[in-house]
Amino acid sequence: MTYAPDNFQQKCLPTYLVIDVSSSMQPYQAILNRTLEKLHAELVGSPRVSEFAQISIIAFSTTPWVVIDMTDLESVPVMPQVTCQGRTTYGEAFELTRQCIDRDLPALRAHGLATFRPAVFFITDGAPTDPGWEAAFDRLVDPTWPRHPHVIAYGCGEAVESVLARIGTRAAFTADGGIGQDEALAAAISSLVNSLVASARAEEMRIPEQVPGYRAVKQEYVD
Amino acid sequence: MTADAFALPRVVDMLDLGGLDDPIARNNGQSVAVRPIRRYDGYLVKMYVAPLAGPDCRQLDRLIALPAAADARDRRLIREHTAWPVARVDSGRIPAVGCVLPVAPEKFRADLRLTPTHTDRRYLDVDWLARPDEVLTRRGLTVPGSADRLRVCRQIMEVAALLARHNLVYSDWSYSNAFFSAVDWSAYVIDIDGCAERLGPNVFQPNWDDPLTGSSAPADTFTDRYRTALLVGRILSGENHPARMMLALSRHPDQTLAAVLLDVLRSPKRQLRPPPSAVLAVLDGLPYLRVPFQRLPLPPDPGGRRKPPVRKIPPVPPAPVGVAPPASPSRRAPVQAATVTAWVAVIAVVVLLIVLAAQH
Repeated sequence: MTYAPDNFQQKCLPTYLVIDVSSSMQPYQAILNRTLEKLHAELVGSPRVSEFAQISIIAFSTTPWVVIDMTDLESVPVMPQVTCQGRTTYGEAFELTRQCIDRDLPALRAHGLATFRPAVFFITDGAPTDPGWEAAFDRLVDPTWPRHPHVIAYGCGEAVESVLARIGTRAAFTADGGIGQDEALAAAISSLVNSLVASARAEEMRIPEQVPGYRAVKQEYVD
Repeated sequence: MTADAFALPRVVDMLDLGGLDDPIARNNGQSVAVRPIRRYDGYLVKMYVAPLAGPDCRQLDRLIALPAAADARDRRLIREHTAWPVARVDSGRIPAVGCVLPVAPEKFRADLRLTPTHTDRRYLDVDWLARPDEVLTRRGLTVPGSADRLRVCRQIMEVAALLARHNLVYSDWSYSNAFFSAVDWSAYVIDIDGCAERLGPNVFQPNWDDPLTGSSAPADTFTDRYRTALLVGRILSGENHPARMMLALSRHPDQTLAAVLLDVLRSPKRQLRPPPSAVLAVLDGLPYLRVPFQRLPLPPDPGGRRKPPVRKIPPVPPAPVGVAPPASPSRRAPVQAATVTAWVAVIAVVVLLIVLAAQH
């Protein structure tokens, strides 16, 4: 009897890091870039995690754009540097994330990879400036869409707790004010790395229950 | 310092260990922390998430006692190539809150280049050897030749055969539980304290599931046969994708070695999987005495993926030049340019090959 018929498909977790790079993040641009470099170093230093976690980075301000397409970060020699400017437009970021998922999952499967439900790590420091962003978010996490992702939200600075609670389908964290925003950003990325390491071990999405410098936000939306 | 040289008895109290250094690992599987013992250079204490229950505690005691009863060859193998537990750690009246393990020798560490300007000295998980050579080069690691890969495989199989001889189930043969040395291409297996006699917990890792063992079934020596063959197949082929690894094995220059490994991996019944001793014998150049059976077919080729599924990586300047939001809808222009460049290069190589072929 065969218990693992899909054994010949390598399993992977499509992971999206969606980062707010609006003008309010400008004071923290350097730390954000250093933190992205650290993320890169952590992942390429672990064959287990870099094999399991396929990563895409999406930045958003007035408009969103794909910084790194879905890939094993090992293939990215150096992380690009992001520049912070513009408004905090959530809706288009969610729309682009959905488009990326629709494009990336078939591409991963076409390359012999079996995909777990995607994970979106959403990091913001402000309130959305676009009215009606909720519609785009609802399309992203629509449970009738088979590819809907888990969303883990991190908020610091002026991020709104009720908004984080709405966005985080698996978990939401808000900086507790006990640490600076630079440290909060680093802690959020560290939490992402820890999630990926734990998920790679467990073969399922694992979210740390606690993130240093953050407190968990009670969630509204549970998938 | 070796496992034989540990100065304390086989059961020690936490207090007798004295001061401990900061953890070198935390929350890793069954342990909450692994900490060097200051007083006993070369040894670590591994603290369990929860004290071991009676049968597991007795199992740990038997493991600790095993080297003393083993022959000299096994003792050498245990001492030089495994992190075999040397003592059970109790805390007052609570038995088995942890165990003492030897530190893996320094030769199993190397400077890993994580960024162009930053290296970190780390133990080398054998799974690095399942990555393409260019990845090893990028990380500053020595690229092994085929003889080097065989040496690492042989050492792992020697430990696997030792465990099988003693009916010990390791189960967690995957990724980071064995190190390799880029100095002499030897291997070192850690976390031996998790071994169980005959049946053990079926430790699941993505991409390491045994197709003939149910997820709720315990692991046994037949599960270990599959996972060690998977590990060795990955090291030999430099492939981490299971289908690609098996296809690469089928084309391996040593067809006897390929046959015994594929017999393990594609056996229709668990009991037909050749034991580690058979794989080890083939690695030692001895003949493969095969029990005839029809292997399950090889998996289909999943399609080329030595290159990652990347459609674009933004042109990345090494200096901090901003990647700013696109000013116009033509945000994918750089990608297209990169793609075009790549295609031009591919076409140029193809044309060159055709020209060279035409000249012969």
